[in-house]
This record gives sequence, C-alpha cells and structure tokens, in this order.
Amino acid sequence: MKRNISYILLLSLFTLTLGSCSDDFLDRTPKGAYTDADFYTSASALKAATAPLYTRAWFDYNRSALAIGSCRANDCYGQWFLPAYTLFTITALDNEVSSAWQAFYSVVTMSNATIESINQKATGVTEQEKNQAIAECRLMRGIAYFYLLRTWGPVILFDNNDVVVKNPLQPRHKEADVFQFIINDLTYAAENLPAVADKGRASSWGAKGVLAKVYLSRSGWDNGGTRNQEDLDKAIQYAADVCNNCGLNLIDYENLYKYKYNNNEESMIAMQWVPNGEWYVCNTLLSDLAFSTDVTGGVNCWSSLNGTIDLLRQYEKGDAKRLKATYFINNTFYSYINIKDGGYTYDGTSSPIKKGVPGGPDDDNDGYVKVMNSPLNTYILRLADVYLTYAEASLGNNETLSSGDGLKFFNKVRKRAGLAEKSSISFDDIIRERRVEFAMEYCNWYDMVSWYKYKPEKMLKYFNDQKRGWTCNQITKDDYGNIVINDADLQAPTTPVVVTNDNIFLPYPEKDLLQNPRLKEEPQSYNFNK
Amino acid sequence: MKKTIIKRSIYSYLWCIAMIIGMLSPVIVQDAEAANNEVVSGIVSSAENEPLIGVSVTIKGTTKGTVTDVKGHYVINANRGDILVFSYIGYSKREITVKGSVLNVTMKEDSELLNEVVVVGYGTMKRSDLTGAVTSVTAEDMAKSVNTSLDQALQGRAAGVNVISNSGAPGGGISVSIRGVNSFNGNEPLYVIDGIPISGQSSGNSSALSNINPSDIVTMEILKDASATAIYGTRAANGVILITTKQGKAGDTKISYDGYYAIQQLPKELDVLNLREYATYQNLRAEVIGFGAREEFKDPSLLGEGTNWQKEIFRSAPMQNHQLSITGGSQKTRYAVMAGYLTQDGIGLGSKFERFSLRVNLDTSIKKWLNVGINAYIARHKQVNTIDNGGVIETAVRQLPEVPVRNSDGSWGTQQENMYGTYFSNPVADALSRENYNKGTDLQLRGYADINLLKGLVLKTEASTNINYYTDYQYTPLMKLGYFTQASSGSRSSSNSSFVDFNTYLTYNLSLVKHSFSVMAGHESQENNSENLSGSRDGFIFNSVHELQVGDAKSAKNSSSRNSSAIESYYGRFNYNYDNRYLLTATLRRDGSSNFSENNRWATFPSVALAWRISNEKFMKDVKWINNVKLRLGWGIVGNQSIWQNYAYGVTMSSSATPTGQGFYPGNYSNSDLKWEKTKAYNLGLDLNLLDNRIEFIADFYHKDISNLLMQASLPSYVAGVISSPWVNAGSMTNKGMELTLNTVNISKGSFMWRSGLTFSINRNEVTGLYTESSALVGEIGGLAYSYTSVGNPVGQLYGYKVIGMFKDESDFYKKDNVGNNLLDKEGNRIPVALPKDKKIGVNEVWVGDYMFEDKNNDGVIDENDRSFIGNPEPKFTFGFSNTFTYKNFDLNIFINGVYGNKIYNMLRQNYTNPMNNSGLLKEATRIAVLELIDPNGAADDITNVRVKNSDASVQRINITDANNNNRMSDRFVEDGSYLRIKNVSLGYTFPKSLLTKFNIENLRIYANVQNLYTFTDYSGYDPEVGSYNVLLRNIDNARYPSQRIFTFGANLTF
Repeated sequence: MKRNISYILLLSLFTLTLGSCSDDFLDRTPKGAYTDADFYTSASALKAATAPLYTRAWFDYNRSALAIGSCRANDCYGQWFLPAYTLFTITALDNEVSSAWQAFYSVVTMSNATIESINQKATGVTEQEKNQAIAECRLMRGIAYFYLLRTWGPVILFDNNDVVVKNPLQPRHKEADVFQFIINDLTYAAENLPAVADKGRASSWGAKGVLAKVYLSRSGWDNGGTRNQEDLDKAIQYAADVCNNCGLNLIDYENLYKYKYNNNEESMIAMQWVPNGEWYVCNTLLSDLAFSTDVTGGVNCWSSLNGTIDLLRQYEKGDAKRLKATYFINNTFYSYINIKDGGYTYDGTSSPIKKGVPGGPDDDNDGYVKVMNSPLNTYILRLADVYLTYAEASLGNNETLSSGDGLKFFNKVRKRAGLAEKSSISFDDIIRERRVEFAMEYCNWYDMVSWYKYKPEKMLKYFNDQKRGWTCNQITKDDYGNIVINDADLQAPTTPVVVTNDNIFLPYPEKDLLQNPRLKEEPQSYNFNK
Repeated sequence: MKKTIIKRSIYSYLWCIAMIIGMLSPVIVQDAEAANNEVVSGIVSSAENEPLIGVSVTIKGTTKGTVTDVKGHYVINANRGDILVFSYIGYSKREITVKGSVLNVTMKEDSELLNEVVVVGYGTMKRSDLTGAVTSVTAEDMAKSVNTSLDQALQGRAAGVNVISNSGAPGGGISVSIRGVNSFNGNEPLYVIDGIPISGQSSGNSSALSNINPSDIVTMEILKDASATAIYGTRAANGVILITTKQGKAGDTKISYDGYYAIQQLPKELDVLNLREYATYQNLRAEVIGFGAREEFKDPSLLGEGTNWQKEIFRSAPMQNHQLSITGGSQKTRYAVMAGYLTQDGIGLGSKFERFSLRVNLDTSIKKWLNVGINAYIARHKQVNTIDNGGVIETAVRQLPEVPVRNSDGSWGTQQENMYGTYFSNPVADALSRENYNKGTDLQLRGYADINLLKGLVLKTEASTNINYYTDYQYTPLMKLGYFTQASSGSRSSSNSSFVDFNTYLTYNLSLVKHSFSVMAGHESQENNSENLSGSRDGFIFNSVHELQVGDAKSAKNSSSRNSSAIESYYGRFNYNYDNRYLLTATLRRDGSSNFSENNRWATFPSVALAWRISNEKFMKDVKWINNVKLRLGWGIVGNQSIWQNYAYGVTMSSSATPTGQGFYPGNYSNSDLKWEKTKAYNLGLDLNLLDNRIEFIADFYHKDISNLLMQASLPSYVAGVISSPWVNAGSMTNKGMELTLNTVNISKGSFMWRSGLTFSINRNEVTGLYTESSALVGEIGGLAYSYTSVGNPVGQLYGYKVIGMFKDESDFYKKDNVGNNLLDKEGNRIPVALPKDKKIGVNEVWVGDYMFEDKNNDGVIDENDRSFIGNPEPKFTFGFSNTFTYKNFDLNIFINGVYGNKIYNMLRQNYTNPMNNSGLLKEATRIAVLELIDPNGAADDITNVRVKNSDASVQRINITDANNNNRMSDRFVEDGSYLRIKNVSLGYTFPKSLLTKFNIENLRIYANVQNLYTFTDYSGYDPEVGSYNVLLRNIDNARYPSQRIFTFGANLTF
C-alpha cells in the first residue's frame, strides 16, 4: 500500500506536468504568412503593398474589358462570343456585368484597405514614402471609380471598407459626387507621386493624364450640350502639362502591342500582368482574341470575334500601320509571328483580332504564351490618349480647332500612324481618330459614354448608325493596302439594333440588387467631410 | 517553449507504452492450470444444438478456467458445489453449480441488449443507464451489406443520420449530417475512432474517412443530442460518432477471413441527342441564323446513332476486398490484428481506389492496478480520378456524336474544322491519358494507461496522434487531336498533417445499496499542424514522363504553406443512478480554441439529462409483456469552432505575384469579435421494449437553437472582391425534429425468423436571425444567385423565377383569361404581360418562342423582385426499412431507404438544354421551339406574323443573344428529388457447424449482394442523391460522378 501511494504521487505529478497548457498554447498567429501588424515596416514593403493594385486587383476585369470597352463600342463583333454587348441586349444576369462590377470594386476595396493599413500600421518609413504609397492607392481607386461612373452612372462611394462590411446596405451616390471623389483622389495622386516612377508604376504624369480626361468628361456630363469652361480649362491645364513636360514620347504603333515593349516610353499606366503567371495575375484574353492556333504557335484559342464594318470603315486610306496592328486583314504579313517558318501571312477574308495577340511562345515572347495567358500589359493610359484629350479639350465648345498646341499634339498621333497632318479638326475628327487609335484597347466605349453625356442625341444617332451586328466575309485589300469592303457582301442582322437612353448604362448585377435593394433608391449626396 | 515540452512528452509517453507492450507480448499464454479434485466435463451447445466453440468456462471466484474445443467439449477440475460460469459472445452468461462429473449446457443467444456496454466518450456505460439519444450500428447491421467505406455503412441505418455521397467516385467525398443542417459552415460530425478524434470534413472530392476500413468496426455509437455530445464540447455541434474496432478476447486464437468480389455498373445515363437528332438541330440552327448549314447533315434520316460518349466513358468495373483478422489473448493480455486490402476500379474510365490497412489493438494488465493498451492503425491508399476532376463527364456530354472514339487507323477521333472555333477533347483519350491521383498514408496511434488508484478511483491517461501524408499527382498531357490542342502541364503537391491529443481523466465509481455514483473529471489538449509543398511546370516535350524535372524549368512554380491550431479543454461528468429507476447525467466542459481572439477564446458547455426507467418501478413488476420502458429528457449546449481560417480575428496578408516581385495585400476582413457558435438543444426520448424484446421502439423529439452561426459573410460583390469576406457570427436558426426507430421480430417459428427495422426521421429548419437586420444570405455560383436565406425560412432555399408559359404567338404577349381570350382594360386595349426590365418585343429581345416569367409583384416588369422561393432542398422526411429473413442456414436481407419532398436544381438541364450551345444537348432539346411565318410572304420581324410551329415545344427558340435569359434560374429546372431506393439485397448461407468442424472451421458464410439495385424517382438527372460542400448550395446538381450499382459475391470464414 505504501508503494501504491508513492505511485499515485508520482503519477499525479506526471499528469500535472502534462496537464494544463500555457497561455500561448492557444495563440496561433500565422507562421506561414505575414500579418498586417508586422508588414508595413519598410519602404520596400510599401512598394510590395501597392504592387497588386496593378495586377491582382484588376483580374476579373480581363474579359469584361473586352466586352464593355470594345464589343460595346462596336470595335468588334462575334455571334458566338459576347454578342449581347454589341447588340445592346445586356441583362442584369450577364456574367461580364458582374465581373466588371466586382473587379472595379476590388480595386476600390484593395486601395481602401491598403491606405487604412498604411495609415494605421506603417512604421519605419518616411512621411513621403507613406504619401507616395497612398497616392498610388488613390490613383487606382480614382481610375476604378472613373470606369464605374462611365459604366453604371451613380455608384456607391466609400473609402472605409469596415463600414460597408458591417452594413452592406449602402445607397448609391450622385454622379457629380462620384466625379468629385475621383478628382480628389487623382489630385492627391498627381501631387504625391514622383515625376519619374519605377518601371511599370504610375508617375505623377500618369495621374495628371487621367485627371485631364476626368475634367474633360465632367465638362460635358449632363450639361445641356455644352462643355463647362472651368472644367475644360482644368483639362487643358493638366493635359498641356503632361504633353509639354513629361518627357515621354510616342513609339512605333505596332511595337505598342509586343511583349518586349511592355512599359515602353508611351505607356503611362498599365495593368501589369505576370508573364506565364498563374490564374488571378495573368492576362487571360489571349484565347478570347486569337482566332487560330496558326498565330499562337499552337496554343489553344477560340476567338470568333471580327473587326466590325463600322470600325474598319473609320480607317482612312493609308492608315495601314494601325490597321495591321489591330486586325488581321487579307494578305498582311507579320514577320514576328511564327518566326521559325519565316513569318505569317493572313490570307483569310474576315477581320480577326490582332491587337493582344503577340504570336506564339516560340516567337519573341520568351516562351510566355499559354492558353488564356498572354504576357502583354493592358493599357489604362498611354501618352497618345493625353495628346487626343488635349486636342479635344482645346476644341472645347468650338466647331473646329485649327491652331494651337491641341492641334499640334493631335497631329503627332496622326503622324505616328503615317497619315497627313490636319490643319483643322472638328469633334467628329476626334471621335474618328480616337476610335481608330484605340480600337481593341478596351477603352472606346468609355469615351463614347462621356460623349453621349455631352451630346446625347448626336451620340444616340451615332450608335444607331453603327451597323451593329452586320458581318462580312469578303474583306480584302486593294493594291495600295487599303481595305475593300463591298456593300453587296454585307450581311445585315435579322433585326436592327436599337440603342436608347435606357440602355446606355449597364444594369447593376442582379445578385447585388438582391442583397442590397438600396441600389434602386435615388442616388444620395456623399459626405466628403467625414 | 512550453509547447515543445508538451509535444515531446506526448511522444515519449507513446514510446514508453509501446515499449511496455513490446516486452509483454511474448507473455501471451493461457492461464488455465489444473489441480483439483474432480474432473467435470460436458458439451456446450446452442439452442439449435450446434456445438459452441471457444466458450469460456470458469469457476466462479477463482481464476481457473478453460474453453470449449471444436466439438463444444470442455474438461475442468472442480469441486462439487463450485459454480461454473459459461460465457460466450452474443450469448447469455450461465452459472451452474457442479453436481456431478458431466455437465452439458445449452446457451441462449442474448437478445437482451440492455446490459450491453456502450462507449459514451471518456468512458463507457451500460446501455440501460443511458440518458441521452444514442444510436448504435453494430457489425451485424453492417454485415448485411457491402460497405467500402465507413460512411456507406451508416446510410439509412440510424434515425436522424443523413448520409449523402458528394461523388460516387471510388473513395469519393461524403457528407453526413445528424439532425438536419446544424451550421452554415460544415455539418460533418466528429468521429472518434478508438478514442482518436478525426474530423469528418471532406475536402473536395475525397472523403476524410475513405481510409478507414469498415470491416474493422465492431460498433458505431451515434451520439445525437446535446446531453450525449456535450462532453465533446467544442467539436460536438454536429453530433459525434464513436467507433470501436475489434478487440481481442481471452480464449482461443481466432483467425477469420472476409472477402468479396464485386462488379459495379452505371445505373443511368443522361439522354443526349444522337447523331440524327443532332443533325436536325444543326439544320434548324443554320436556318434560324442564316448560315452554317452542313452538307452531310442534309438528310438526317441517312445518319446513324453516332457515338454515345457516355457509354464510352463508363464501364462495368470490378472491385475486391480481402480482410484477415486474428484475435485472441489470455486473461491478462488481449490482442486483435486486422489486415485489409481493397481495390476498386471506378465505373468511369480512369478512376480507381486502392487501400491497404493494418490495425493492431492490444491491451494488457501489467499489475492489478495497471492496465495499458495500444491501438495502432496504418492505411495507405491511392485514389485515381481523372474523370471527375478533369471535367471528363462534361466533355462527354459536350463532344459531338459525329466524332468517332477512334478513327479506322486506331488514332483518337477528332472534330472537323467548324465555324465556331470550338473544339472539344476526345473524352476517352482525356480520361485515359490525363493523370490525376493522390496517394496517402494515415497513421493513427493511441496509447493509454488505466491506473486504479483506489477502489473505484481510476486514472486514465491517453495520448493519441493522427498523422497523414498525402501526395497529389496531376498531369495534363500534351495533345493535338486535329483542331483540338492542349498544352502539357504537371503539378505535384505534398502535404502532411499531424494531430496530437493528450487526455487525462479521473473516474470515481461508488455504489451504496440503491445509489450509485460516478464522477469523472479531466483535461485535454489537442493540437493540429499541417504543412504543404507544391510545384508545377508546363512545357513537357513528351507525355512519357510526368515528373516536374523534365518540364520546362522556366515555367516552374512552387509554393508552401503551414498552419496550426489548438484546443484546450477541461471537462467533467456526474452520473447518478437511484435503484436503476432514476438516472441523472450532468456534464460540463470548458473549451478554449485558437480560432478566436483572446477575449472570445473560452466557452462553457453544460448539459443535464434525466432518465426514468418506468419498467423498474414496483407497479410495473407484474406487467410481463413490457420488458423495458425508459423516458429520457436532456438539455445541453454544444459548440462549434470550426472555421477554415485560423486567424480570422486578425488580418493575414495575401501574397500575389507581380512582374516586379511579390506583392502583398490585406487578404481578409478581420473580425475581432468572432466567437463560438452555440447550439442549445433539448431532447425528449422514449425507449420501449415489449413482448420478450420482440418489439423495440425508440422515439426521440428534439429542438435545437443554434446561435452565433459561424460562416464567411455572404456580402455583395462591391465589398467581397479580392479581399475575402470576414468570418462572422451570421445569425441563428432552429432545427426541430423527430426520429423513430422500430425493430421487431415479426415471425419466429422453428427455424424461420423474420425481423424488420424501420427508421424514420423528420427535421424542420428555420433561420431565426441574421446579423444585419435586412441582409440576406445568397448562395452564389459564378456571380449569380441560386439560393436565398432569410429570417423565418429554411436555410438555403432555391430562389428564382417562375415560368408561366412560352410565348407561342402574338396574343401571348397580352394577358389572357382562363379560356385564352385576351383581357381588355377600360379603354378596350389589350393588357401587355410583363417583360424583363428594359426589354421590348423584338427578334433580338423577347420574341415568340421565349419563356414567360411570372410578374410576382405585379409591377409590369420582370426583375429581381419577381424571384421567389422555388424549392427547399431539405427533405420532408427520410426513412430506412430493413427486413431480414432467416431460414435454417439461409439469410436474406432487403434494405430500402428513401427521401421524400426535397427539391433538386437540375443544373445539367439548365446548361444542356440551352440552344445557345452548339453541342451538348439533352434529348429535351428535340423540343426546341421552331418558329414559322403565318403568312409565308410576310415579314419575319413582324410579331403578328410569327408563331411557334411545334405545339409540344418545351425549350426556347434558337437565338444568339438570349436577351430574355430564358435559362435564368427558374422553376423550370427544379425537380422533385424524392426517391425510394432498393439500397441493398443480400442473400447468405451459413454452413452448418457440424459439417465445418471436420475441417476445423468455426464459421463459414457465403453471400451475394446487390447494392443500389433500383431507384424509384422522378428526378431526371443521374442520381437524386446530390451532395454539396456548401450549406447555401445544397441539391444543386452539376454532373457529379454518379453512384453505381454493385453486385457482390463474398465469404466470411473463421478458424
């Protein structure tokens, strides 16, 4: 019995030592990942914190960019791929509607979260480094809201995620306030970004360029058919500053769409996709754009999109450079596609998409071409855009513009395309120039919406005259390289497309309407003084 | 620092136990020693006069004893007046006083199960003392059908337990739910296998339990109500299933073999368009669109059936299982060793499951006051599934019937060039050449020591660990099949996880005349660690080698991760039994979980249950036809802490590649207020045994209030973008239900016996609160809403539009009365029906041949406000009905189970009847609305001149924009999911013992079995049993791997 008792004592002791755990037994702060508390502690950490704003944040926008930016503008049309965007039959149940909406707000929420974290958690960095990082966030947030505004009109503004996470039932805000919110963000960005930024990142010039576009857009927005002079002046001021002082230059047009020219001199802000990147950080559009494995080095692709008659007819005689870089047209030779067989000549008679198709992995792409994975950046702003913005703002409310810097920069764009300079330009010239210059760059529709808000009747007529849904399988070129499309070869859609005041803006995604019925309430004013 | 000490201690402890047992194992000897006055001998036989082998015969009050031999004969030295105790598993113990030298004994089978010992978690109890709702599934029940995995053994056999396969693939995922949907986030019960807790959470398409060999199992106890489960506190919210595997018994060593061979078949194919129908469809399509007519389709009647791709990818597949077990031991040491091998080819090409397992259970009494034991299990599996994960079923539906499987030269058949630029892979080539498998090794180890400190006071200390190694292999081959090209890519990922549990508790039992007490208190700590390493490469030059090192180094990607979590608990239980009439069980547990911030970490889970054994009351003594009546009443609180994110109360940075290096952003919204989910549950139960236990009836009624429901917030997409939604305590709900079990012996005459068992369960769920007042939870697929959960309704109901008809001609665009005449307004104008928002009548908008949706709110527009609940995925009731007939040595078992009143969303029909598709259409698409002109010379875009030609049209017209969203989420695709399934029929024959003894065989049974023989259902998809990993997306059928019909032949043999 005595022995038993000593055993008991021994065992009890043993049990006790194994028994209760110390307090930190239950503390399992992640060992495999950083937490926000220990992350924002150096200048390079701040760089790493703003880098995904150029990449991951925009991912869901890949296909919607094509749908909204280009198909809707009637840059291209395919009966089997996103036809509803060209034909204006979009509904709230459409995929690309919800993914664009989600992508733009992803940029907003990521920017908000990063700003908040930098403000609350950053240590060991200078005020200037902090401000610069915040400026990058605000630039991206402003750009996302600018897209949102031109796609849906009134949208929900917020700069604090927690408030919306706790109460997602938020109202929309008035378009004027959305503009003001964007301008506040971009102005801050223009003031706090450096004049020379790291490769692939936005400089203050990029911010100013977008700002010029925003002011120009606001100048005519719901303003009774005239443009507000104050806004025009601001647009001119920012555009002129960029055009005259940024030190950047236009480059060869075709090179703009080659992998090796990512972040070229003309590129001011671009989505930075990871070459050969994984899902969520790659440019997925390759397979949606390329029409044949002949131009992708065998990489699987499925595009049925073609350049529209409407857009092809915007090309002036002699505009072969831009045409070649944008669409495959009969009998056009590309030395940099299918290099190992001595190049590629398109001999079909349709107009498949060229822009965004840089060739195959064995061409000059370092092997970085895969199914749904192209190494090309997606432009948000390039210098030619600011040049044309300068010209448009300079034209202002006038019928024509026949002198001054605005015209000079307009002609720089034409000159680069190999076209003759114009001595005088009108609003229609600007529309035409922009459409050709930015065809298949996922931005024409957004500009069209701004123009529609400026001159609704004119643009409605324009949209309805665009021969939407027309197709042609007999597109050829004459001896001088100019495009030939005979009316006799055209095929009209069964019913004409009707664009009205009611379907310019996209519907809010149905799922969010279900979760937040307030999206149907009248837009409210945003409280800027929180 | 402390952590490492704990870990090291656990391992060293396990090691010690292993050593002790290792030293003891040669000492497994028979104890019987002979030295007595008189030789007593005799034959022990069963009521059927079969000799019983291995019956233990002991002299009461001594350690002397022997066992019967193969003829049932025993010899023992005993004194006159000694009491001989005869005991045998499954038979009532007999005690007989020695009066002469010959003592023949007949033993009766033990039909009285009430004294059976039941595992209850941190201890055992007599079944008669139970106060909670506990259901047992025994090895005998399971033997009635062939089970390849543990969860199949549960299906339909226990009231209130709902088992659904998420995939019919070999080794595929299963979801088990006990008493309805208990949580928004994971519903799987906790499994405790011989004391080792294992989470039932399936990941993806493989089941966490697929590594457990069901043949090892002796019993499963399903703890359903909170008073029974509360002792498991934090992990008990979804119920607990306690599994006991075979243990050794003192006596002769027994060797038994179980084996079967089976053939599996696909019970049902989807009816898709054959070549003729496909050609007709293509011609119609070309006509509507204006181009694309194909010469070879001109006269469809000249064409054959074409390729039936489903026939090509499904097959009859064999399966076999072998299990060898050895059990035995002495009075002091008992052991059981079980080895198993299962190999199962899937019915889908390229699917297979293989499992080796070895289990050793050993326990020994070292000293009077010390018992130690060890349970060890190791299993290795390989699961191949190229068909499910590679989307092969979908490709088989999509691929054109005109494409041959193989060309005449033996090469894979491919599509011709087409104008859509869409090319599908050859699904057969795909299933055969793709690589997709995983291999895993599971090791479960538990060592324990029972120390009798004082009389009635036992200290049990146990340490257990569960270690898993998994490696996943995937390779997509380089393929160029005509116009279809596929780039090669390979990936490997390897993970290991370990779970360590250390547990010590003291139990004190005290019996005083009519009072008996039992008190238990303990402490437990649990720790999970997991690591993962993965890599991938593309650009393989050949398909012959799939390892990453031969892939293109430039494309190499890799990653690793690491996670840990921990739970610490204190618990106690108090049992009180007064005169076997009044029983009380009270438990208390306090748990701390690493999933919550310091302020919300700990929670307390109490429970109390009372039982009244009415049949033991004096006034019942004379009621002979009632054997047992027990009333049970229980209340308890259990918790749930299981979330997939260990640090949800803080912000983890997400890492994301950028061209300028790795980028980081806040990966989640944090919620520092996150706390335990709590379930408060009441249970009222009645156990009734009548007519010499020929009727057993168990009824349970329960009510569960679940609050602080844990889930990842369902947020609108303007906040739920790249930053993942916070974990929140989203709301509360109730589950109310009833479970009935009726086991009867219907006929027992001579050598014929008919027994039946019926289980019946009803559960009703209602959401009673959500975390922001007007928010609702939306079940979302690809940005679209499929279910909607709001306060006052069951969780996860299907939510969509109601179809009220098809526009057949112009008059349908205006409201009609019952007889089909247009209604007129005051001005005498026809009243237009509602069209989708911003849509007008037009060829490219809404047209004849489109569907008409109900304008629920009568605002003249079809929009999201017209959605309504169009189906509840939860069944109205479920049942299982088992009948066993035995005649002489034959036994026949028929098991039927069924589900009534649940709705399924047939997403296959939504996807595969859409005439926007170029291919992949179900037979239903032969009824596409065909439009005709009333005046052939009139305009085609004049609505008054167009009508639907085929009156039986049930699929909308062909149109390229589908501006009406005809296939929007609507009740068109909601189907009744009720079914009645002949789940199992088995016929067995047991050879007579008299015959077997000649061959020294103790028992031999052969059987034939059919599983999933037939399913009666109106559901048109593959299988009405549709699983889900997400509570908000239940019963949405998206072509899962179908369950198979299995024909089995097998034998059980014991030496």
